[in-house]
Amino acid sequence: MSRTRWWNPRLGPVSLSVTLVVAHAVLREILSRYDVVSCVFAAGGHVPRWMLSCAGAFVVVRLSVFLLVPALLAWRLVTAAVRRIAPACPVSPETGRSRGHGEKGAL
Amino acid sequence: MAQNGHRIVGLAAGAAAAVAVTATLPAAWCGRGAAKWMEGDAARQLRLSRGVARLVCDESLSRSRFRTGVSQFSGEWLFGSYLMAGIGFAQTVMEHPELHAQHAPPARRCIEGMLTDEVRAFDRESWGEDPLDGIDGPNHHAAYLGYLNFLLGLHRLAFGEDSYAGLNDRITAALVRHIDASPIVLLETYPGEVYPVDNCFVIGSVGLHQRATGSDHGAAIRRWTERARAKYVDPDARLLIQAVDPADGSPADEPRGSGTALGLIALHYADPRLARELYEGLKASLAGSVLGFGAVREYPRRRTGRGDIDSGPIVFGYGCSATGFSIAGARRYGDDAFFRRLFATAHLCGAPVSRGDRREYVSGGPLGNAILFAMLTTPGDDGRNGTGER
Repeated sequence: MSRTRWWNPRLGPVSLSVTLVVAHAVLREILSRYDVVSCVFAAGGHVPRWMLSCAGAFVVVRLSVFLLVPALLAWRLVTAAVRRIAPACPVSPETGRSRGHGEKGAL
Repeated sequence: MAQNGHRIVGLAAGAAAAVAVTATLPAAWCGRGAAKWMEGDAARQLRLSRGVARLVCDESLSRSRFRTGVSQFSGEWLFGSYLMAGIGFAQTVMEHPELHAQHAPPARRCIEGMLTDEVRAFDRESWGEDPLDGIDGPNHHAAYLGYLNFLLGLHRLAFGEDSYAGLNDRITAALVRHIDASPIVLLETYPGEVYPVDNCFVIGSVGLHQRATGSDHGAAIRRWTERARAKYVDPDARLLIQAVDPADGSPADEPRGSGTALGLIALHYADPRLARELYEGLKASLAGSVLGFGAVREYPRRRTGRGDIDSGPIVFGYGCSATGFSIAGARRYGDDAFFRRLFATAHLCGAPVSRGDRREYVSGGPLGNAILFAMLTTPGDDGRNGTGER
């Protein structure tokens, strides 16, 4: 019997994408209230560290949302489609489930 | 065995789909509004103009709003925010004369902002003399007077004669006098510092004055452009030298993307042919693309240099300022494909957000939004999108 621990959620491509999109929306809302560009242009000791961290996180999250999320979703869609159109496979006597079809992946 | 083979096929197909999507979809998505901007869609220009008006004209801007860490740079950014916003408002009226009444008040606020004591301070602190008090004196004040006069000339073209015409005439006369007196034809931005890009705005403002008033500055413009073509344009890269020695005009820095991309915007009004040559040099030497997103290098290939306040961050050789300023050249010369790629990059990095009837770039702040407003509304050189000719 498998146990799902609270600190080890099953984070798959779709849930990761949703997380990134939500984080992007939140950070965009926060950063729209501050002058980020001058911090990034002139990063130095005088810039509040929280602001620089927030800007850095936003850059990473935004790039991920535009470059990683479409790739993740495309990969998930195609692998799921290939699995679905695969010929019916015999049920494994050990696991008692149909391999290739009933495998429960993370979201 | 068959099961393993099937799984491998599935993974390979998934990986191929992921690569194909990454290479095409993000740039296509981010660049989807580019065609409308290229056409000069008034609704889009209006939405961005409202965002810029809120950030630059409605809010009380001050040096402390900018956190560059250097008082002079913060002053320059404050000055630059008013300048670029003012350019944007003038250019939108050139393209859509029906916006005249709506854009006249914020355009005037931009000029008034540039004339305030606080904005003049960055130049005054360097020269030890107020730039407006020194118009008729021996000091050049190329940055303050050159950029201010450029906006005054553009404002005159777009909005016609108004109370700023006298100041435009006076500054133009002073700049022409300094050009005539300078053995290297370039004026000093600050004492002992000469930047050809700032001088592009000096000579561009003289060209604008000629267009707006019909007065003849042909001799000064010819002398300037002949010398610039021979001495201040790198013959290999066909780019503008970033800085020169004030004593003899010899190069003091590399030819760079940020200076070239910004300089050719103003140079168009003095010598359209030289401006076009610089744009073609910029495309040949510096333009690149990553996953369909356009980018412009700060330094030519096989030359290296550090980033600074002019270039902004340099990532894998591509400069933030060079990329942003190149949008203007792409629109001016009707370079649709390059414009779309650069627009996609601006969308990706700028993070535009719509709030009600206005649009703002989240990561831009007052200066970034004003720059994009000015770049995205640059008039075409063949009569497209308002040339400002009267």
